[in-house]
Amino acid sequence: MRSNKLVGIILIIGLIAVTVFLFWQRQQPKKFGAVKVLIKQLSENDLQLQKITVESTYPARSFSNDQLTKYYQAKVLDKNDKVLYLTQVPKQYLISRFTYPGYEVNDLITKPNSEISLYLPIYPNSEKLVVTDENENTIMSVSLENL
Amino acid sequence: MKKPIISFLIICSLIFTGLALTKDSQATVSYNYRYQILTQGSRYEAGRELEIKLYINVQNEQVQQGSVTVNYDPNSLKLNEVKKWDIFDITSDTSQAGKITIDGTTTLQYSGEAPIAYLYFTTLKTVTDLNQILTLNANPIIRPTDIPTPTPILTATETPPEPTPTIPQITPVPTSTISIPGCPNIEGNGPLTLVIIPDQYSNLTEFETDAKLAVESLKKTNLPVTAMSKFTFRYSSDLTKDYQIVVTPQNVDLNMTLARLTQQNCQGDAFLIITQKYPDRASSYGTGGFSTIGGLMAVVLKHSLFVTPHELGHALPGLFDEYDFQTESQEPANYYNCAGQDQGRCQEWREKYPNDPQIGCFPICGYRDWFRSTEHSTMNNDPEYIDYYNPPSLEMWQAFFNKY
Repeated sequence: MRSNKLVGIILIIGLIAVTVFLFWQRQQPKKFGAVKVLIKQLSENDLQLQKITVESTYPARSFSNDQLTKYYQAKVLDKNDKVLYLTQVPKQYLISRFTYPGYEVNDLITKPNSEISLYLPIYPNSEKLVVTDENENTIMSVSLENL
Repeated sequence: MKKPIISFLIICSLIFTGLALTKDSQATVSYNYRYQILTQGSRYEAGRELEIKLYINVQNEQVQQGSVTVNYDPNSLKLNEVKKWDIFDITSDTSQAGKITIDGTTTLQYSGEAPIAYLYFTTLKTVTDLNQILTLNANPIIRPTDIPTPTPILTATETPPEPTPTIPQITPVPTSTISIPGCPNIEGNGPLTLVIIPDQYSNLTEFETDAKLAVESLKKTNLPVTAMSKFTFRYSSDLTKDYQIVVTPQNVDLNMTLARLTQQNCQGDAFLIITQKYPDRASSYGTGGFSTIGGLMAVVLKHSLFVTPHELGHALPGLFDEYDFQTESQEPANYYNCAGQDQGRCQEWREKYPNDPQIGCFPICGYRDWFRSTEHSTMNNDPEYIDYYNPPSLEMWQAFFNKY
């Protein structure tokens, strides 16, 4: 009688563990494979989706840089708008060159990030990609459901 | 009777030919040298100490050896010391008055211009034109030519031997256990992966050597070992892609989208392209490399691999240039290695590093109205100090590594 109870308790604990594991697994991205999103920046806060494909490559790690003042935020959300992945995307690049003494030295070159390529991790429960500006204003929203 | 003699002669000629072919082919070459007077001024009174930097210049070739004779007027100059610089180990012969013979060797394969030694003199009388009393003569050295050695005939069971490139000596370090096809690991097993990408290379062995030299140049800096352990260095072995590098006097550019794809394929967080497109300093308008500040991408020209620490200083922790842009700033100093017009950050540096004699508040940090913490550093443009990140720069590196 007592052993039956024990087996029952172990079964319930096992069931709970499996449920928790499956739920956790749904939140995890795949290690290989990425959603490649190609976006054209026509001007500041004016973005145009070019292409969205699933690629046989590695997803990009989240990027953030405290020194950036002008940037977009790309977020992958689930159906409850929970953020699964967040990365900063610079709106422009500051380019510096090493010039030897004796040659004409140039100031920094500023170039707009005109072609943005995102390599998003693949989540089983991802719903959409939302791109916002620095102040969280939505600039673009792309569905990831059918991928 | 004739047959054995003919056979003997054929065998002898074959042996001689074989010996001639197997002997290392050698050629005598000499390189270009110049000197720079580091002591201020152009007229030197008697009793003045002169510091002179001697450079070797090699274009389109990698060098491991140099030899130069310095002739000087012993009635005008007294030699005090011959000192080595970082890259070359030197032996000098000063036994003859008025003549110094310097032989330099390096374990690195160096291309471009590099200091080979320092010379220290005291003037014995007033010197107005040093060129009249101090001249250089390049000495011939012997190096192997590029004539290929004969390929040995292989039996069916043998495999061709791997080429043996000259690779700088590297202290053994752990290497990533991750193995990605087309992306061999160089060294390191840290969480931050830097992918080194070839541009305009046709020989993978040559590129592999250059990629290792770039890693070595970063290891030679004063970045702490704990910081270096955050890195995994890996390279792309795809030589077919053209990253459309452009260097003109006004502009620099590259195909970032393509480079990002290569980086992702090698599971990288950042990339460093080494390009052979501009073979020497003149063709690249004095540019050694370029990078995005804090943007995780850098480009180094093959003739200037040693600027890698400078470019990665921009690309990874977002350090600012400390040399002179010859212009004023249009914005506040947002970079910790530069103080703005109010010099407020200078005080912070002094308080943080009270015992560091190099710390100060030196005018010019990129812009002429900004200030830098040390006179020389990696982020300045003097190749001699490329190994020295100053304390504020090291702090920025640390903050960057804390993210990984």
